Amino acid sequence: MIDLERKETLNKLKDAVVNFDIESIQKLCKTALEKGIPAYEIVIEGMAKGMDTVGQKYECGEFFLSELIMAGETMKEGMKVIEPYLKSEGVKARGTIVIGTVQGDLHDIGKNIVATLLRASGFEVIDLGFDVSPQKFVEEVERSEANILGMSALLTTTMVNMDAAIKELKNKGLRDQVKVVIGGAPIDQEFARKIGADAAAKDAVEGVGICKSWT
Amino acid sequence: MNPRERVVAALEHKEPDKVPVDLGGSVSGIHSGAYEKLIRLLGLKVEVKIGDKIQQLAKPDEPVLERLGVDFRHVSLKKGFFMGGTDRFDDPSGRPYFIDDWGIKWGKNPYYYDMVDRPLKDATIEDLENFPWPDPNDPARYDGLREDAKNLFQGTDYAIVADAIFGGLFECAWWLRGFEKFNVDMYKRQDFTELLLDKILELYLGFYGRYLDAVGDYVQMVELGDDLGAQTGPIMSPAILRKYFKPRYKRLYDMIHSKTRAKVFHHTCGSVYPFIKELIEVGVDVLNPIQPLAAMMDIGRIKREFGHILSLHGGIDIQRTLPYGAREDVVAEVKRVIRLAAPNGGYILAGAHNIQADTPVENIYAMFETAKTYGVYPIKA
Repeated sequence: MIDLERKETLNKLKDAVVNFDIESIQKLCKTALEKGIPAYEIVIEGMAKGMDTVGQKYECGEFFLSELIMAGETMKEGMKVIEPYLKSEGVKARGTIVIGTVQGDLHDIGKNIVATLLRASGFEVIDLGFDVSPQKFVEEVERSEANILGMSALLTTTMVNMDAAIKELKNKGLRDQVKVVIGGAPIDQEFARKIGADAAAKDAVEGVGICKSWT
Repeated sequence: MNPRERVVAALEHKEPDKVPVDLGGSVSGIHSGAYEKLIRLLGLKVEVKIGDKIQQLAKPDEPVLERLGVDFRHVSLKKGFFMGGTDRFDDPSGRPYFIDDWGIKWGKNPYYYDMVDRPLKDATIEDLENFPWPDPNDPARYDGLREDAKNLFQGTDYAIVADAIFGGLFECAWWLRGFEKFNVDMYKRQDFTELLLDKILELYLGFYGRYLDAVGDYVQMVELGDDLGAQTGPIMSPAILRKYFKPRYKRLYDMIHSKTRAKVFHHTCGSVYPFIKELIEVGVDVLNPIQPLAAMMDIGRIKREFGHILSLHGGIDIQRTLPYGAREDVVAEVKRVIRLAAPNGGYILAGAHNIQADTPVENIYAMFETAKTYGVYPIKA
């Protein structure tokens, strides 16, 4: 397959994400696979480039939250086709991240957006859902040998559980094995410093950028 | 001037004697945690009553409202759409929960209840037709409401405001479907989305029709809402707003205007500057809360551009200044907002959402005291 054809196919995948073409994305993914483009490339050079564009448009105010979500949902559909091939290619994920909303907190929309964007960027994402205890976070980090722990909180009362999770990582001698990124409305850099997190993200797009910079 | 005259003047864009002040309802209320501290500070021996279960808001008592100089008294449905439900304790997580009139499951967390399951998460178009929609004709919802409103109107000189149903058209749709799913619906399942929103609108028309039949003669303001904004920008694109929501808001607000001379108040959290002109077009008279820390929501700018036809309600930052500022910061902030928003009337002072549980009671008191003393017209520069 000549380089031009490959580029054209990958561009179509990118465009499909930017245009929320959820109806066509699975067919486009299958076509790309049939043409012999590796699954990993379909994700990273095709669909993920689309998510990057969407992320930029969101950051500059051209796209809104609804479009960010729509693009994420489009890419999710494409990933359903691609995922089995990623496994069979033995493609290593860019990194493994354990993510969840902290104990006592039932909010997950922001966390879900982050998870989708991270998968789009080639991470293996272990999403523990909401109301996740510090122990559960740490157990999963240990089991999965994750290199990143991501925690989300929307309440000032529940963000203290981020501190508890980091302390639990230290107790289990795991703190040096993971980078910790935190996010959510009440979170700021000062809080991150105070509890010894490695970074605070102001929104999903920034959070993904931070994770990428670590891997 | 009495409170009702004060509020009416402000809503007519005339300067009253002082800036009207609001406390109560579902978007300018006070969390029971903060209210407990407030009644102790004021030396009142009253029991905290919960007026809003989901947000755990206290129902403010008359002595508190009088002490703080509140100009409004609120009326609301006897049996709200989202109040229903006794707590159950049989969830595997151990978390208490209740199921509301729509079938949404609300789980308890330390300070509020949050949605944890949604009845239309897997719905088809046929499911929408067969769904057991709540009944706006249930007389229990309106029982005694007219008498309550009439007694307040005739027996007091406060401004009377009709509280909102909890949740607007967009909100109800995504609360029932799930945020991500309804988002995809709006882009990819147009027929489904139109039908779902029409069903919800039908309910609202039914409900507000009867609500206003009961209280429309007695209230000066009617509250509705629909959260369209997040902290950094609108949740949806202007194109989506125009496609699905603008025409439906117009139908709803036209109906309300036909039933009462009261002003229509629309609550939307967050950054919604791009939508303000269009909300005015569909009949919004009062915009709440002008969330100070949300992007592009500078109250001075909004007042300059829209203040001649749009009244502003709220404005006092409850995300940072009120809970975390020193008392002097709160005083300075109240003065700043009054200076920007109050000239020529058209401003009602209130928290830019419910006062939260972790707010120091001295700050709450300072907010209302400053409004009383500094909010006297003509406003000092």
